[in-house]
Parts: sequence; structure tokens; C-alpha cells
Amino acid sequence: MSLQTTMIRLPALPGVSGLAWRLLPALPFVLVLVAWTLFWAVFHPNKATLPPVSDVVEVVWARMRDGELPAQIAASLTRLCLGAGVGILTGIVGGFIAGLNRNVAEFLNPLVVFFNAISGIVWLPLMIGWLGIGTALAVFVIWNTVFFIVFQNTVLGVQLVPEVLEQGVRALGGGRLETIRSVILPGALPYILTGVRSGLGFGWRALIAAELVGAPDGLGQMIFAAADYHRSDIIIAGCLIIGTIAIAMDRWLLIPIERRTIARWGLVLDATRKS
Amino acid sequence: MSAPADAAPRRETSSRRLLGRDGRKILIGIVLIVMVVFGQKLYGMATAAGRLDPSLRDAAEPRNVIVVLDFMPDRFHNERIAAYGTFAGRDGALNRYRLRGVTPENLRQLAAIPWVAHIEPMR
Repeated sequence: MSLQTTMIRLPALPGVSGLAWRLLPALPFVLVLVAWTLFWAVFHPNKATLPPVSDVVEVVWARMRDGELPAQIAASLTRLCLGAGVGILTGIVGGFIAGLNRNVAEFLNPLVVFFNAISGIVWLPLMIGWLGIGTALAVFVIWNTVFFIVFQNTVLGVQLVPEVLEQGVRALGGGRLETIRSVILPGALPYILTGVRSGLGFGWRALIAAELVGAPDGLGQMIFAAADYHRSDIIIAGCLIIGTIAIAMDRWLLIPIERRTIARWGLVLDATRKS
Repeated sequence: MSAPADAAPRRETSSRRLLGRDGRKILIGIVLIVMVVFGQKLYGMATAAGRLDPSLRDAAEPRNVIVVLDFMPDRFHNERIAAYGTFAGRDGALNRYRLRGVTPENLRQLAAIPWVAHIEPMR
């Protein structure tokens, strides 16, 4: 089971102001930053091993100004959106088909377990020959990662919908499509969206792995190229940017989508809403 | 006369209800992704004419040009610029590239790169 769970809006703890509650998620990052700064101030390690915070900030600023960073971010984000989009779409559709039909699920299960065990990076040597170096290769590697997570979560979500609810709709005269629309889809949504969130997280990992080996540009390629010159400031900057984009996508896209769909359809209660 | 005053907040409420707090966040998220992916390219295309020397704007055949940057280039910039023509060294400074045989289409694409400062003909 994934670590990520369905997000509900939690009320602030008593005695904690609204602003402090909102800033709380930033606290671990601030602590790491302080620890990093103190460590550097005390031990002065080699810059090629661990650069000071100021060097990382400077390199981010410089590369934003000379246009490299926006171009690399755009290249990576385009690949991620393409790969994850295809992975999510095929994962949900395939998962629904397998979840609704036990025979299809039994038929696909060994295949899914087999291919899920093979890491995306393992495919790279073969796929470079088949697809060449470029967007198609990265899209395949991301799809390979996202698809199985979304597929398995969707199958699980569909299969776990209580049959009594489906029977209730049928008893009221609803057909197969009506049952899927009004019971199975809302019932499976928490699992599907958990799969999507986990899949996107793993999708980032797959993207960077694919770009390290088989892409002409992107954040992974930027990190890989920086290693040639022992530019640890660029490597850390790349990691920070990847993490920041992942958090931004989670906060501004996935969590709101999760709340809007799941809480709205009444399967998860909003903790701030008073009855 | 109180109707118009009442109508404004009602409109605001209905638009807020339409999107909701999460809906606005989703919209912001989508807009941000679109801006990150396409923003730089769109900005470059919109300002391309200003980067191209007037004598190159109506080029109909491959031209030899000098691409000028207003900062010291890195490996990324060298690789990108070399993709649009035959790299023929620097023109007196590291940030002035000599490119030969740049086709009109490549010239337009080169001018649409936002970090290129200026493109002038090679003399």
C-alpha cells in the first residue's frame, strides 16, 4: 500500500495560528537548510563534494537568467506530462476493464506482476535501439513506471467497491453504465488518485533516469553533464528544482483534484466541514 | 436601487462556487505548467523580430551569420546554437558565434530563442 493517503483538509491545532499552520510544511526544509549552512560554516568541505547554499542559489539565478534552466525544466516537464498522461490514461482504462471483469484480471495479473518487477532502466539499452535517444524513449520509461501503479490501484479500487451498493443501483433500475458512473467510479476514485499521485512521484524518478542516459536535454541531462565537471552546485540545484516542481504539482494540482472529486462525491469527509 | 449593489456580490459568489477554492488551485496549477512548458517559447517567438538584423529578415537562402549573446555561454548554449548551422569559431569574443549556412527556417528558429541577444550578418 502506498504511503500517500487521501488528503483531507485538516483544521489547525488549537493554539497554532493559521499562518503558522500553513508554514508548518516548510519547517523540515528550513531545518535542513540551517543544518547545511552550519555544517559548511564549521567544516568547510570541498566545494566539489558539498557546495555552500549560496553557490547553489547563485547557480540557479545565473542559469535562470541565461535561459538554460527554463529550457531544461520545460523539456523535462513536457516529457513528464506526456509519459504520465499516457500512463495515467492507459492505467485507469486498463485497470477499470480488469477490475470489472475477474477473467480479464486473472489473465492480466501474471503479466502485470512480471513487467512490474522489471525496472524502467532495464529497458533503456533495448529501447535506445528501438526508439532512439529522445522524447519517445523518456515517455516510454515514464509510462512503464506510471502505468503499473495506476493500473494496480484502479483494479484494487474497483474490486473493493461493496457489491451491495452496485446491487442497490440495479434494484432501482440502473443499468451497467449507471452502476459504473454512480457507484464504481466514485468508489474507486480514492485508490485511482492515490495511484496517480504515487505514479507521478515515481514518474519523476523514471524521467530523470531516462534523461541521464537517453535524452539530449532536460534536468536529468543537466545533472549528468554537471558531473563531468564536478559541479555539485548544479547537481544539487537540479535536485532541488525537481523536488520543488514535484511539491508544486502535488499542492496545486493533485491534492486539489483529490479533494474536489473525492470530498465532493461524499466518500471522504472534509474535516473542516462542520455537520 | 439596491438591486445593482446586491447583484455584484451574488455574481462573485456564483463564480467562486463554480470554481471553488480547489478549482482555483487546479486552474493555477494548469496555468503554471502551461507557462513553464510554453512560456519561454512563446516569449521568444513574440520578440524574435527584434533579435534579427534587418538585412536578415527577408533571407531566402542560407546565410552566414554571427549570433551574439549578452552573457558568457555555457556548454548548453554552444550545443543549442551549433544545431542551427555550421559552427565556424568565435568572432573576437566568446559570446559571438560564427555560424555558416544557416537556412531561412533555422534563422527564424534561432531568432526565437529568448536568450539570444542579436543575430547579424557575417562580414
